[in-house]
Amino acid sequence: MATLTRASATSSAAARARVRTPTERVLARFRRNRLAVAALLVLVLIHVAVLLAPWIAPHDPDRVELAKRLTAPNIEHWLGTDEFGRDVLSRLLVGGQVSLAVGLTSMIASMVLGILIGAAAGYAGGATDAVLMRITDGMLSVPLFFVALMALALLGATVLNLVLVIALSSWMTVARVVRAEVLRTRELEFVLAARALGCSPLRILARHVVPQSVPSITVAATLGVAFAVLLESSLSFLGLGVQPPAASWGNMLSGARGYLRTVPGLAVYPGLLIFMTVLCYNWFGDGLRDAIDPTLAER
Amino acid sequence: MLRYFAHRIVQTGALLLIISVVVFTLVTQAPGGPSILLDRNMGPDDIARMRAILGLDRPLHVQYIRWLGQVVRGNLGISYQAGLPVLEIIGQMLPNTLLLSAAALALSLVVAIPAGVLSAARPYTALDHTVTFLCFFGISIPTFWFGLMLIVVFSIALGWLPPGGMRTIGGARSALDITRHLILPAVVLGAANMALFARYTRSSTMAVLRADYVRTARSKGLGERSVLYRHALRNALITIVTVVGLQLPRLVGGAAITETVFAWPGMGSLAVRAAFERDYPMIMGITLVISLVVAASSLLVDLIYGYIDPRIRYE
Repeated sequence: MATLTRASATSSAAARARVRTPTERVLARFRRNRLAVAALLVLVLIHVAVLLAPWIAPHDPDRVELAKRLTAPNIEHWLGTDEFGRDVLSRLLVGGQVSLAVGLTSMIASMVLGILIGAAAGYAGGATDAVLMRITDGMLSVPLFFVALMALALLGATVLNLVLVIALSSWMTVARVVRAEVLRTRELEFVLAARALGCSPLRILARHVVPQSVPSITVAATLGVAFAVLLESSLSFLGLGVQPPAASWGNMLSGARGYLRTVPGLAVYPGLLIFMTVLCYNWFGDGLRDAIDPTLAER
Repeated sequence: MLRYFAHRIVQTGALLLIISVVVFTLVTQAPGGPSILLDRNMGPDDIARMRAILGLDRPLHVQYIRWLGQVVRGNLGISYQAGLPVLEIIGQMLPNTLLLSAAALALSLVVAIPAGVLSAARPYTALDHTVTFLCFFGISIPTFWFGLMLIVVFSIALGWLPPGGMRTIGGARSALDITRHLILPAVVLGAANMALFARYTRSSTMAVLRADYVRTARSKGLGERSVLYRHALRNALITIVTVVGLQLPRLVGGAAITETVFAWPGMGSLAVRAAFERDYPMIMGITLVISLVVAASSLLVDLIYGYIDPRIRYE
């Protein structure tokens, strides 16, 4: 009896050592992708720095000192000052708050929209599906940047409008991904079981079907932030995003345009930050996708 | 085939109609009116008379139907701001945008396809990793910033290329002059697509390289070049053409930013100005023409399918 217990104890210990949850396996695969891990670290660094901006910014980002216009980087102003004598480093940190906040909020909004539309289309099927997918395809064949640009010029370039416009022009990919996942899971046994138990369609979708597509949604969300940050900066650059004197990476670049000949550095830093952020989100998202679905890795 | 195209044309017509209704409503209902009505020298009576002349005092649906009636007869109206027919202004600007977009598209394909095929032929080598690395750069770099940096390096520091515009002011009109002005914007506009096309060329070529007919081609002694470009690429092209088709709307949108950075006189800068000035006929005209161009190009992409792969039938 004693030997039996010991035998089963050792085998369960061995089993515990061998069996890893799917999440652990994904994390292990992700950790092996050094580029993706590095990207994640850079992203954490950028976000923490931007989040702590009010405390770590060396100067007041909006303080105009005309006597110190366009100074070169020095001990007091590490990255120099802009055309109004404002500290560039401080503006970069504070401007990042707006850029990243717009990027993240519009990503979340577009995810919500995409999930709702995709889930409705996939689960309802039939005419609902046909209509929703026609709308999705239609949206994909419209030059959206053009429409976004005109919509902002007409409705006014406020942060809220910016988020809405970005979200409305980027939900389509998520909708398609979620729809495909819903179509796949809809007929699986556990969903049928839930239906047989009398769950309402809404509950089945929210509790059983949509959670199945969380991995794909996570990847799409990561890449979505990259897209949103890029779009925000483009629109702000054209003067249709965050309005000065408030700083954002896009409008800092727009202000730096006039000084390309004299102080090219002004245009370098904000652009480099946008570039790094977008690049790292793309690398991170790509690594995440490979970790979640290794069969995609070679594509 | 004829039925297919008839179907496509009807679909396109419906899409254009929907876009025009949405944009018309958005444009006319947006706060603030056309900037020509903001003239300080005009009293309330003048403004009212002006609104009546422009037809802005009518109900929305009447305005829209009037506009649609004009469009059907090939008249896009008169620009409030320029006082010239919208069609004439667009006629001047559209070729510039098409030139820029076509140059960018051609450039991106010329670079992306060989790069993608080569990295598919030697996967996981230094070459492949370099191409992948560069692709991420191309996808992530903000268009306008890339443009500004190229201006700093090639126009300001090195002085090799002009920083903007389409022609040297006061210079002779020559194709060479336009080409010199075209290089930087085309590179900037082409960069993101270049990266995307290279990625897709790589993945679809890799998939095709595993096919049996590729093994057959190799085993009958064909050279690697021939296998790659004649057999593999031909079949991989279907994916590439699809991606190109999907990217066309974005190419036109990207042109708007590139045009602004390089002061290229095209539809993008025209649209930004028209939107700021609430030039209703201009905004509607631009939207319609741009959507039409995008729809026509995607139809062209469908035609190319049949040319690349004769097995594809249009039904």
